[in-house]
Amino acid sequence: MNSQFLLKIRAVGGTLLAALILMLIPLPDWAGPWRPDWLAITLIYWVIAWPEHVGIGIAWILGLLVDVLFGTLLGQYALGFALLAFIAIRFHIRARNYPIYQQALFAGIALLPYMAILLWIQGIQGEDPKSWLYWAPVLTSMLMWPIVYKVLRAVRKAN
Amino acid sequence: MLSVGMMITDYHYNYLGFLRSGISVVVYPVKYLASLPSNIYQASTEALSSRNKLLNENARLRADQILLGLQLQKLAVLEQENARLRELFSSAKQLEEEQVLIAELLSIDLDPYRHRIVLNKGTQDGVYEGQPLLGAKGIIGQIDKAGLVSSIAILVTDPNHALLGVIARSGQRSLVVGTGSNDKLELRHLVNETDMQIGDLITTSGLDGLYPPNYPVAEIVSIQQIAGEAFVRVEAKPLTDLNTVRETLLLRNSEGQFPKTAENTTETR
Repeated sequence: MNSQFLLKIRAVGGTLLAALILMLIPLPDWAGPWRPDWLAITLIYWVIAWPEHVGIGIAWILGLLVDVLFGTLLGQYALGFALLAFIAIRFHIRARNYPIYQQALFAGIALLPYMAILLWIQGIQGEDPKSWLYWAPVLTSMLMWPIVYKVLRAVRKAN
Repeated sequence: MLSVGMMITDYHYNYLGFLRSGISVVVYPVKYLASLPSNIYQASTEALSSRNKLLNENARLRADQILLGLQLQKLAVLEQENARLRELFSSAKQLEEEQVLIAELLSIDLDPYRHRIVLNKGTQDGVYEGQPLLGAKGIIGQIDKAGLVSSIAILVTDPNHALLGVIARSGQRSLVVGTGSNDKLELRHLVNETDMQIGDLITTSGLDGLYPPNYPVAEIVSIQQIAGEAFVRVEAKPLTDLNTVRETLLLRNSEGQFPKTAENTTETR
């Protein structure tokens, strides 16, 4: 039982780390704003799949790491991810039963308040992007959801 | 959720610096891993480039070095002459000796809307917040957040960055503000009568307390008079190509540090 728990932790940690690396890998200039929010959708998946263990606390700590990584205000992503995890946990039973395309829509809708709060915090600091392209990751994340879902489910089943 | 709110307010008073530098050590491997693919790509293209090409490059670099050596000789003479003349005028102002530290860029993307870069040197190498950052041809930015082993720098093109520059030819001062576009800076509050031309060099003035004086920054590329506006719209292009820069120089004054960070002075916008 205990070793199984460790395996699960490893799966969650490993995929989150992979998502984090995907967030940082350099893209050409035009593609930069369209980068899907890999980390957010990976987090949504794990919260839906395993809400007893991956919850708001984990999301908050993850957010703190991202804050340091990006050099943003300490607590900015922590707040965003905590909010995201809260929404996902609130609707996790419903989301599990959705067909995959509806799940993608759910993930996109869950991203909206998360990105709105990030935009708000950036705005307070006078750093708002002043461009509608800011919302582009919502679209690309929705498109990527089926792939992420399949990959992560395979990882989860394998462990 | 409450604690998150606390974090944000806390940050404004800068109590959390130690926490940030602690976590930055933990996340450094992630940064390193993320930069690996493009590093490998670069290394392999370098390894596979033909002998001929390398020979050519070698010859070109050697020619460059001779040229630079020549210029350096001239500079040494000029420096002596300058010192002598200043002595004649018994002027207190002197050319300062500066030390540099070479830092390499980690090839990772942060937020596409903020012009920040990640360097592979941190406080343990003597990097500090507010330290000026130079490219091959001039100022490119300054250190924003210094971690233990890596640091984040803000580029001059970041919309939140401003410095007080001076047009080298005429001595006219102007605020040089980032636009968020990689090859464009904006000169603020210049009127039509100002003595300026396309191609004029803009250097740091040293009056903003951010950067040491007389380092080149940018070159004026367009001057536009817009009807009904009090000021002329002047755009400049940074001398260093910020897209391709890989090695940077961190400047250190012989007496210690250049004060302040860019964030404190951008209120003027």
